[in-house]
Amino acid sequence: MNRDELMRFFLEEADEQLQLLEQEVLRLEQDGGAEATIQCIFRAAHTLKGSSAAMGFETMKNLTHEMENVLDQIRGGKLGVDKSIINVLFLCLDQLNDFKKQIEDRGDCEGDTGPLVEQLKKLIGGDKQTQAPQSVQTSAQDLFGQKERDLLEEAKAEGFRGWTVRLLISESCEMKMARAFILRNRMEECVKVVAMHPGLEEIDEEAMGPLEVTYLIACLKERVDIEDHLALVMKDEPVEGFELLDEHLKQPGRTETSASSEELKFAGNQASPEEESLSVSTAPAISGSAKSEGDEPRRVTGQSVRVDVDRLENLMNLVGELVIDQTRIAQVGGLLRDLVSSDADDTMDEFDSIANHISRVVGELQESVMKTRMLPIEQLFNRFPRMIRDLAQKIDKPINLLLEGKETELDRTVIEEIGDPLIHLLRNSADHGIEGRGKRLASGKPEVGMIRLKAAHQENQVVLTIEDDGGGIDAEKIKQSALSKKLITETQAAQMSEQELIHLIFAPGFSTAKEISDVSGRGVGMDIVRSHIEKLNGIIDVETKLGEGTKFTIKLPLTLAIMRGLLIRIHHSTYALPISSVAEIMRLPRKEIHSIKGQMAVRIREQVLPLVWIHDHFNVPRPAVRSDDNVFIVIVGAAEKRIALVVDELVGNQEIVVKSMGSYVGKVDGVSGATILGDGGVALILDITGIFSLLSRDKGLPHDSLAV
Amino acid sequence: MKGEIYMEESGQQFIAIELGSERYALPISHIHEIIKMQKITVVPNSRFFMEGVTNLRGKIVPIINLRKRFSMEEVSATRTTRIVVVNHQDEIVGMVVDRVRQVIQFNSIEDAGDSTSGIDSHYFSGIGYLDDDFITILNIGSTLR
Repeated sequence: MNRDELMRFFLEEADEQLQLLEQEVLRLEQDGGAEATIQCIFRAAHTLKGSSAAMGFETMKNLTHEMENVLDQIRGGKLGVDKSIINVLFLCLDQLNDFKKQIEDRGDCEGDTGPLVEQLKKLIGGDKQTQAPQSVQTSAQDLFGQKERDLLEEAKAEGFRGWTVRLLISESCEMKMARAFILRNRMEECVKVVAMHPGLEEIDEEAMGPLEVTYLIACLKERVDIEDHLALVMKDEPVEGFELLDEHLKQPGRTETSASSEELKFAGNQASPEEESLSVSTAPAISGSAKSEGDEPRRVTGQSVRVDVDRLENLMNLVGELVIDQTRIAQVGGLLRDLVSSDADDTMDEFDSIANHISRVVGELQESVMKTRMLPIEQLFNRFPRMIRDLAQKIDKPINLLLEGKETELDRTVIEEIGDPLIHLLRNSADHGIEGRGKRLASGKPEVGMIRLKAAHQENQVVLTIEDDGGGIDAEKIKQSALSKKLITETQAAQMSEQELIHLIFAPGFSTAKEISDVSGRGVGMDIVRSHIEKLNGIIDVETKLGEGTKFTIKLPLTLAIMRGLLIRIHHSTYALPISSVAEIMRLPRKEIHSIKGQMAVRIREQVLPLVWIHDHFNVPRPAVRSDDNVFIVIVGAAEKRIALVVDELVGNQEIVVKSMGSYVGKVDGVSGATILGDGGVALILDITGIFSLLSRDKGLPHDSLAV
Repeated sequence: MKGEIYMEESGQQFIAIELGSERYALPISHIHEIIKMQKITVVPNSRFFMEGVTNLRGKIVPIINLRKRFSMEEVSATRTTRIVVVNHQDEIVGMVVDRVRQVIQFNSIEDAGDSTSGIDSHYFSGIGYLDDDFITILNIGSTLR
């Protein structure tokens, strides 16, 4: 066990605990100090304190220690929860997050926690307490407290059996605490570890002699199986033997046999001096909470393995190969059937059934591998309540953020990419969307503004909506603002529909906020949103009603590695279009393509769409069609823009595996990558955003103007 | 390019290729594999000597045309046309050539420095001498650039 590994454990744990803290402090603000919430916060802070102390991050330890003091006061009912406390706690969290980041970046952290510590101390009432750990002696008691027993009872109710595992970590082992922790994690591969004794915090690294650790476990398996697993776990570990005992726990009050006959020491720093007189009776409760840290129920549920992302990527690539081959098998099968004589029909039928089976298995394999890369969007969503809370306080608008569909799963790369756009949209809704208190009340709306963020699956896509009940977007204001910023000309403006005007909010350099605040209104937000979503092959749409609110809808593909593609032909070459960007496919007589000021366009259901012959941009001849002939038109969208592409032929749609063309080919305008077709040939994947910019560049229009 | 100036390096093996009547040598250590001509997908708006991309066992490989690179007259593929796939900066790139000849080992190699031939000496890394013959050694790095 080297320090790197330890560090990884530490960072993972810190990450988890900090997230938990943030959630729970938010909850604390709402429920005003419910017992369970405060316990949970206390435990998380305590765990953090312990692990940062173990890793030698003194500043971090000191801060969590002070937090703990305050939390203890709240827990003891000595301190009421109010806004100032919550704010200080959040400040502490920010500082801790900063520390964690520093540790991540350079392995150490520093910073002045003085002011924060002062604030924390002030909360308690200024009385400086002596923080020397006090040993609270407990008489021979049960090793595990009531809390652990309850947990075990719960597990038993589900049919588990309780056991205890006692083992000795050898004296020569450095960092016994970490070892005990690792052993616990490894045991959890097979059994539920309900509790351990001594708790991680209580392990004295400096103590002489081997360390005895007792784990309380719950398991469905038979004794022999558990023993086998334990033997496997202990192998090669610095453990001087272990024993699996029946659950030795007795009812409280009775003396424990074996190990607990020793005197147990608990670091009593949770007990403030004035509580000392109570310490005998409170000791079990305190020890209970201290020991169960890290035993959050969610960690015990399910059995999981951490896997390096690179391995998953590799697996995904291999599955991609299979997907291609499976398409090829089907095609070759079709060819073979035509070639062989009819007496081979039986064999061909068998071939087909094998081919079918392979495609089914490959399909399932692909889905499973894709699922391993999926994460619930919750991870991302959890960042928002705090953000909106801080923002609402700052701009003094009460806002209620509703999150729906947290469990919706998305490819991890998509989740990483969509974070920034969502933050921008939420901030925009809060800052520009929701009106001030006075205005809301005057227009008969509830004082508290509402922002609803929702995620849901829709076929092969994920749909995210951000909806507010604010003032909506005023198309006229947008027009004036765009004109004054010279984003559009008067003539352009006159031709634009209301919807087109509203879409101007996505143009670079556009912002309606009169003053630049540090919240939003720098005129870059929506532009970033759009470019991120385009990068993900997604589409964004906005619906707004003046005075009633605005709703942004984002549609994203589930994954970026494999997607459905529409295969088209342009002058003998096959190209693929991401289905997610295809809005509509139609046939139109050639003569319906009009030219408006040098820009070709078609009118589709009263909407004029710019039209492109990609042939021109790819330097291949346009097909010869008479004006009465029909041409195929594919309407594609990137973010909020739509454009009509003329294609020679529609080939069909199929799963395509996205492959990069490598750095030697480099960036090709209008092409985002390549894929391998069923016949082994290569088809280039058209990059819709790239085509938009090709179009505007070749027409000499400013890059992002809406070409109409 | 580092490692491509070979003075008196007798152990080094080369592959001789032909473009029309001209012969060139490529160091075997740079060669990934040699494949027959296969279907190539055109990449629009790419560099002028780029033929396109092809599928080499599931990998997308860019293919360039050496004739185009050296501004020679283009010819259509024949039975002997080959794609020489070479390693280039952690990637592989294919080069279309008219014919691949034998593996050769030179008696001695002269630095490209001041020798000149039909094409720009910029693309050479040297001249390899055989008993009664000599062949220009291509500098793969600058040829692909």
